[in-house]
Amino acid sequence: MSEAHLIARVLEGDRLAGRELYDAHAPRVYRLAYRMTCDEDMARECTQDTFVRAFSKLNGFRQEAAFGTWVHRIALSVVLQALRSQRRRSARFVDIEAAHDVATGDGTHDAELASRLERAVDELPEIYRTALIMHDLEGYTHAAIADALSIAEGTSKTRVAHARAKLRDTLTALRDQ
Amino acid sequence: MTSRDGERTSMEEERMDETIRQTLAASRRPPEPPLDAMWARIEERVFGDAKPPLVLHTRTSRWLTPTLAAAAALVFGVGLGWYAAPRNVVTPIVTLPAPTAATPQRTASAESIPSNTENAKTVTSTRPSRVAEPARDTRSIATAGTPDPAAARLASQFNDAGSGSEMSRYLAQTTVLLASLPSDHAATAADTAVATRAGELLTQTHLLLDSRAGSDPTLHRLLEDLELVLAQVARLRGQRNGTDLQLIHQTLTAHDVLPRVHDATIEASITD
Repeated sequence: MSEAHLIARVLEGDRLAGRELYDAHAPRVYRLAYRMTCDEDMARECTQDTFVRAFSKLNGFRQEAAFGTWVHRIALSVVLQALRSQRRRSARFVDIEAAHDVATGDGTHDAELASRLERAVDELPEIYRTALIMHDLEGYTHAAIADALSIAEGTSKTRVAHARAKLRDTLTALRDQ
Repeated sequence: MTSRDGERTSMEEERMDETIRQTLAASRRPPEPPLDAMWARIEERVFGDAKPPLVLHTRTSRWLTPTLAAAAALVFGVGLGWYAAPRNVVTPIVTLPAPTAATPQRTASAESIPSNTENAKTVTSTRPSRVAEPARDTRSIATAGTPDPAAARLASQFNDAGSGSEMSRYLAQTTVLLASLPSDHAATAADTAVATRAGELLTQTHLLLDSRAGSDPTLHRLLEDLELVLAQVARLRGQRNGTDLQLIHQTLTAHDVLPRVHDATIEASITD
């Protein structure tokens, strides 16, 4: 069944159609929310808020863009607002266990590397961090990022390049120590 | 630097980028999404309290006819009043809600009808600044009295101001202005143009604060911060020193203004 048809059914109050749309897009929204927040509760809340807002505003969705693009736009707005209001980033601890998954070098070095890089990511201006996570961690194309953030494709490329350069500086500093 | 050095640097950068990507992918690896639990909450919030279509019961219908008749009589009476009123009599055209502790009554006579946006600022400047105001219906503007092109223009501005497209346009223009703020300390000829534009956007900010869009708490706070920044920028004309610019940049940073404008732009494009 096409998304347009599902949307029409959701507007008529069909929960099953809603669930179908949700199943198609929620995993990716949740992944992005988690990558951005590093917090399971926040990622869950943001995903829920995203779909509540999407379904509530569905009658205003003109289907000029794909439903997925539209939902991701909402998701980004929700996540960025949540991050800003709660300011949890500074209080967040790096998941040391996860850092051990990097299968190079000894464990202590990897944990230090992960910790320093995480801190460097957190210190990046929001616009660079968002573009970097979307592109390098979640595999969004520059076109998709540009669409979701309402920016030019070239701007997305510049932001990712700038973020990478900053992180390379951190890595170099760590190696020089 | 030779082309070989350049290639080596580029390869080294690519290796570093890959190390960074792998490290971050591992430390930010998302768990399995709790799809069912999240859907339960979404379903409850979106469909949970779905109400059946509104049906007028007999008891309501009994009151409906006389109410409609009274409303029709009222509309007819007001229309007759407009038609019969002498054209040169000064009549109030702006009617805003009755005064409360937070919102003093605001009225304007036909004599103070603004004929351009500069004058519009004088009307809106009576709004108590930086006070959380309840939503008010500005659609009543210019609905009484003789038709006047200036009043109609102002009313149209008020009505349009709340729309998504108008908001998007306003936010885009504000972003452009804030991005083009002078960076050096010395006053330049460009200051006047920037300050003039800021003044125009300040007027628009006032209109938006009084529109339906301004009743949204998040947007209201953003508009209030923009009001402050734009007022600072509008004062840049003529003599200024580094402190003026520093203050503007401090306000922008301290209140996260630009990221919030960006969010609002996305939001407006969603609702548009």
